[in-house]
Amino acid sequence: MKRLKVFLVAALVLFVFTLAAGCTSPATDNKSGEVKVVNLYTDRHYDTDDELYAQFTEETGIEVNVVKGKSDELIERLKTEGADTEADLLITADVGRLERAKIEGLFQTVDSEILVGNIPEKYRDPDGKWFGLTKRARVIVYAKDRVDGTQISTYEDLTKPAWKGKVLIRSSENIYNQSLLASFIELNGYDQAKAWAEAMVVNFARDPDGGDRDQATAVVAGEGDVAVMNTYYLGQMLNSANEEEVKVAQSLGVIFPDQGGDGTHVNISGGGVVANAKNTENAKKLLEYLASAKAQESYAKANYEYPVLENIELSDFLISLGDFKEQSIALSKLGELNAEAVKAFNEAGWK
Amino acid sequence: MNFLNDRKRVGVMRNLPAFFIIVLLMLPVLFLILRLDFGFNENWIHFKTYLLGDAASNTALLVIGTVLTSGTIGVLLAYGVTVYDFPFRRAIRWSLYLPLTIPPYIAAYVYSGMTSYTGVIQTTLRGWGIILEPGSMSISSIKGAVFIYTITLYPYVYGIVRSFLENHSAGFVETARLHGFKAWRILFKVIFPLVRIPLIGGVTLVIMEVISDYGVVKYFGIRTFSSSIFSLWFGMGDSGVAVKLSFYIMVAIIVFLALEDLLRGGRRYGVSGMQPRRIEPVLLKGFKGKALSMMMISFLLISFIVPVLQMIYWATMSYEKVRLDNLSVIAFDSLFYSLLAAAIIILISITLCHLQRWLNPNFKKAVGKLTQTGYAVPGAIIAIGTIMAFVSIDSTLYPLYKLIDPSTKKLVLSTSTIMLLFAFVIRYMSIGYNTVNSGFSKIGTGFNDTARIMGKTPGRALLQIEIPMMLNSLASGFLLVFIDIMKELPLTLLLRPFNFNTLASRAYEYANDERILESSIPSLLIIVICMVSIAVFVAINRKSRKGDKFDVEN
Repeated sequence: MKRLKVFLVAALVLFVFTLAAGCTSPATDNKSGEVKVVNLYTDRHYDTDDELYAQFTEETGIEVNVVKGKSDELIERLKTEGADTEADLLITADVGRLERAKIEGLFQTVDSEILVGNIPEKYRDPDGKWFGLTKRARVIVYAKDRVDGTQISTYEDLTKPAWKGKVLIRSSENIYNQSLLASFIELNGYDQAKAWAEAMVVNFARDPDGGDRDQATAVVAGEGDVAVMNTYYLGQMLNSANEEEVKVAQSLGVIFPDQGGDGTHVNISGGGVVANAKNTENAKKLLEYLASAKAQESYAKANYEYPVLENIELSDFLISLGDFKEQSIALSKLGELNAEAVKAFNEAGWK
Repeated sequence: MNFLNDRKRVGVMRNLPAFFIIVLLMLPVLFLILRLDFGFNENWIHFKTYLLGDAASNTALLVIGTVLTSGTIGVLLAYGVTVYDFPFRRAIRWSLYLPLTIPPYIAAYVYSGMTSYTGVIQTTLRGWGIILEPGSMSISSIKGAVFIYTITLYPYVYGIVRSFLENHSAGFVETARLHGFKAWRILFKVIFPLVRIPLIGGVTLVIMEVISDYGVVKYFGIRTFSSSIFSLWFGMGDSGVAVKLSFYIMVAIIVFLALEDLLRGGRRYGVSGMQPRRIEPVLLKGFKGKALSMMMISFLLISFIVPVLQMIYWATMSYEKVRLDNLSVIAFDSLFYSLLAAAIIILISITLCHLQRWLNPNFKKAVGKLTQTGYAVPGAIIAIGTIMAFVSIDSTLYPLYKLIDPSTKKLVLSTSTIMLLFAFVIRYMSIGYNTVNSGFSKIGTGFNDTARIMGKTPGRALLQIEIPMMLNSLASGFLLVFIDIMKELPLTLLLRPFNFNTLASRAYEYANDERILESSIPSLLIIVICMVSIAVFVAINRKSRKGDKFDVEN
């Protein structure tokens, strides 16, 4: 009998724990008289972002609840939750995903003078569905000790026979590469973009593996001579706790490609207010806060990203990179053409 | 005839709870299947033309490679620690479980960090003036992935084979020794044939882990079925094709399991013919003992000690850049939910195993296979199925919620951690169920029948007599599930409610941002918590073994 009791008690305790666990999730409604909140889905995982949210709460009294995840999966979750979702704001680190969320009807139009006033037109959706907050450039880096930087001035140059077996770039599964190729499809058409990808594959120093930082390291290690990477990762390496990584970053030269032509590929991270948001006003306020000079400065200083706001004091790292000409295509195209880009990569045999 | 368990008495009523549990476990998969369309659209053709060949051959190579290496290593280590006695044997015996506590994708990051140009190995060599051929140390390849899977997954094989050998090999090994068989001959002629069944059990777990893994192959840039699912879904935005592919994989795995069962010919070791007797290890003296000890320790060095030391070093380098203030809350949440989910899984497994003992053997097999479905599909897919299931449950229950609280929101369950717990249970049911079931099959139904002749009900017989006998299996099932959930990633990322973090999700956030140094603090905490749980398990194990002895002597 005793054991039966123990078993039943154990089952009961588990049940109660489960219920308790379920009920202790934080208050995410905004009923009158309760705490003001904004519920955020984001795929930006930076501690510096958490600090920004904390400052926002301090200034406005609005609490920020966060779910961090991968943007694709968060979008899928938003779709499934539909009209009943608790999320108010979706932030992603790639414009392709913002555009996909817009196409899926997950965003609502936001009418905000602050956002329109602060964010240049090219970094926000013409319909006011999403707004860019930071930008990164996809640049070419090279080993300063053995490569003459003046030999390369375009993405196209990487496909020249001179660089056969010398080019390092990560896998086509990566969203930054997908957006890069999508921009070429927009600029030059599908066939030419695919031909570029095919020629790149011919010049690969190795099968793509690792992240952007790994490509940079491989250049310095001598596995290849040139690599494609985001500026943002270079900034991280220069400030790494590992001295060897700092050395690697210091021995790399940076080229902003296509300065005489279409301009360097730029991607943005940004956000939009969810169509079925329950705390629309608070979500708008948070977006406005993130686009304010104060927050923009923090992005530029702490996270090595370019602010979208003009006249923001840049970090030494960003200043050292200098000014550059950006691609002038509508960023929304990167999202629309993403699936095309993936297909072109697969057809070109880019792993 | 077994009158106690006459089919008439084991009526529908007793099958009902088992049936109900199975339906609940299958819910996410059922929702996904509802979404299947069997047409062949453009994306499917694209997948077949450009990705299928690569994905199939890479997945096959990874599975075969990992099965061979982890199988061999698992059996050799288990054989070594059961049959021989050598210096530090007791410590080594349980330390060999430790690599299980390192999530494979973290091991991948750590090893590629160590072997990279900026890593400790090449940096040190450069200090001595040795410069390696660029890329010569790279582990980002199929071989490298097999290495990572082997060092992180072999404990599944080791654990199962070792406990089998300790309890069931005494007679065979001693007979072989009496006939003057040498060690290698015993290994090949006695041990390998003998452990075939537990080996297959362990290897099956390894296969499922390899097939559904996404972290390692993504980082190494290897195209597999799992990475193709993600590429179809998120790269091309075609969830239909992605679900279809994962459905095929799931079917393939279930067919494989059924085939394996068929080949095994239903042979199972009942306890009746083989009185379990613990094997007495032979003391290896002098050089041989030291050599065996050294070999095992060096294997531990590679699979556990070196990566952990590297992580500790990274942690000391980067702790200033990591947000530490909320780590204790995160650690508590990880621990709490892993324990809770593991406990639920073991309770359900006991209930299922108990209820199905009297069922038609074919039905019983089907139950066993169906519990595996959650493990056979990549986690992200299960997660999407779970959300679909819970949103529709919430919609159904909405009137009820309104009765309780008129101002309630609609998505109650699906915005709570209950959804996450549910997904954990579905995903890891298979591991819990298999371990518990092996405990049940060792016992058979004899004890229960006897107890019932003495006037006990089946349930009471289970609680009073059988569960105490199976404590070991239950504890090891609990431990395996607990460790797996501590490391779990895709479900947590996708299903967690607001402001909910686990150590694994923290580690991921840094690692995903290519900040592997910063990710080592949460990773180390996972490892420490899992190590403590293994230590507790070892203590329980020792205690219950004393209990076993007592029983036998009586």
